[in-house]
Amino acid sequence: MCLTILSNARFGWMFVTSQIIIIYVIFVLIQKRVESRRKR
Amino acid sequence: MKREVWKTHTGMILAMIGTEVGLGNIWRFPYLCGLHGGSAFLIPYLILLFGIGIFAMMAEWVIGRYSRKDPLGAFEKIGFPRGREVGAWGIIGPFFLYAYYIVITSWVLFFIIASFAGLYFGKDTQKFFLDFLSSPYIFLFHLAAVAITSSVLALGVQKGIERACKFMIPTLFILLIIVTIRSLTLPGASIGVEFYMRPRLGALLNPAAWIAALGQIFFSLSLGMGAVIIYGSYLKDEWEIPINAIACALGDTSAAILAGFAIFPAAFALGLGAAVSGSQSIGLTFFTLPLVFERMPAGFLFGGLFFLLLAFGALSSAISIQEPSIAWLDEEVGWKRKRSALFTGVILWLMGLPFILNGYVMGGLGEKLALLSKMDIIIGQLALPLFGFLAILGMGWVMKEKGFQELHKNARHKFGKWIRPWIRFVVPSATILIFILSLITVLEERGVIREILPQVQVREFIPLGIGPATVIMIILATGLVWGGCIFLATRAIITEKRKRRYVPDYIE
Repeated sequence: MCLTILSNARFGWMFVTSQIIIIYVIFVLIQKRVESRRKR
Repeated sequence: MKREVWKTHTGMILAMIGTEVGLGNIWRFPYLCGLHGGSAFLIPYLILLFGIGIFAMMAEWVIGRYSRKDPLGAFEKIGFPRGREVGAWGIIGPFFLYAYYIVITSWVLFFIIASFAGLYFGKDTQKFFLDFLSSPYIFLFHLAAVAITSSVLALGVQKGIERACKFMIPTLFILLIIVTIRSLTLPGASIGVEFYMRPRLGALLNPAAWIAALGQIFFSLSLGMGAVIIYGSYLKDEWEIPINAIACALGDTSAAILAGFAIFPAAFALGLGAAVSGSQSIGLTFFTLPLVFERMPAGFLFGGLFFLLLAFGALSSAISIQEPSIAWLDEEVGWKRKRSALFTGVILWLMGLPFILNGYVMGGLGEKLALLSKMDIIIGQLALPLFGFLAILGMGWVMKEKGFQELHKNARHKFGKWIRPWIRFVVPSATILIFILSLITVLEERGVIREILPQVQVREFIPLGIGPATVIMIILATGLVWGGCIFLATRAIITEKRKRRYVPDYIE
């Protein structure tokens, strides 16, 4: 069911782009934390 | 802890060729040759390879060796504005690329066994491939592919990557030569050779040939993936960059040219010339070529060897795109390499699952590959040229003289003064051109806008038609390039002034 929705072109695009943006933002936040911990 | 470097010069060259030689060399270059004038296509390809491609590649080598860090740390160290955020893409971009690239690699691994066992012989090859995507075995092969790359990387740079590439890349070339000899010795192979190599110079007047050559060079050299930066960071100082980069680019091109000799003569000899010359990527590899191997004497053997060499190319590239994230965990978070490899392996396996499940659940080729093709458009066609462009700006406009000094460090053969304007103006312009043309192709040909907004046609956005629209977009992009360069240059001057202003008296 979930994949049927994902395979719909519009939802597929939303899934792929949101996955990229979310993971990128999370990674930037993680690396900032790592950086501040390292500086301390 | 001391940072690892490549142990031997041969190992470094083979590892670099390993990043470059991948699926693109085998499933796309021969197709482009067939489409754009046979051997005449080599003219724009070699001109643009030596004019643009190798310099873009050298820029990434320079950033890597100068910083001796993962792509994230490298962009920060060279002083790129918001270097950590921009460099973060050098870790995350390859992550997404790996997630779907390894899915394709797992199909190749299955086809090694399928060919040796003759599983697709006498069957509809397209149906055979689709049935495989719907079978539980796909999960097993996906896991195996992730496990192979993670295990190699867990062993480190010298014992893992270098040793694996020292085995895989020479074997790949030997297998390619064996399959090529088989292909060329089939009765009627000369028709395929003539199709592939007879120069049709008229095709060079078509700008599409030049654009296709530039795009193929960019993707084939694995630029903008963070892989070349991280491999460059393991270079020893005594190895000169210019000559070695040229050697690697030639190694990559020779694999691509040989692949055409392995494919076309056999296809034409066995009566499948039209089908093979008209298909590329997934269609060529998994539907059309199996038909060629089916008709070939001892085809199970040569089919198996062909998919084996393809797997070596794909795995060596996959290893290089998993490495930036492992290097980051290793160097910046302080994890042990084995732990980093296991962690990234698990995350990447999970990230690949949506693509596998998409193929497993859905019916029909388009639906099965829906997510994978969308990710390929965003990452492969758009994000990579953009990151590659930033890397070139990083060397030409941020590092400036330091970049050119690094390029010529310990080099016996140095470029003249022309290299500065060339890397600062010409190479970034060409790279942004690839990005713009990829964007236009994606919007116009792949029908992205139509999929998102079904009622709207692309041409409604561009009332003048694609020709003038392309010209306008190129002018805008050129403005963007030089605007960015001026921004970077002025920023560097401001930072310099600030540093001077805030030097405390006691230091002087």
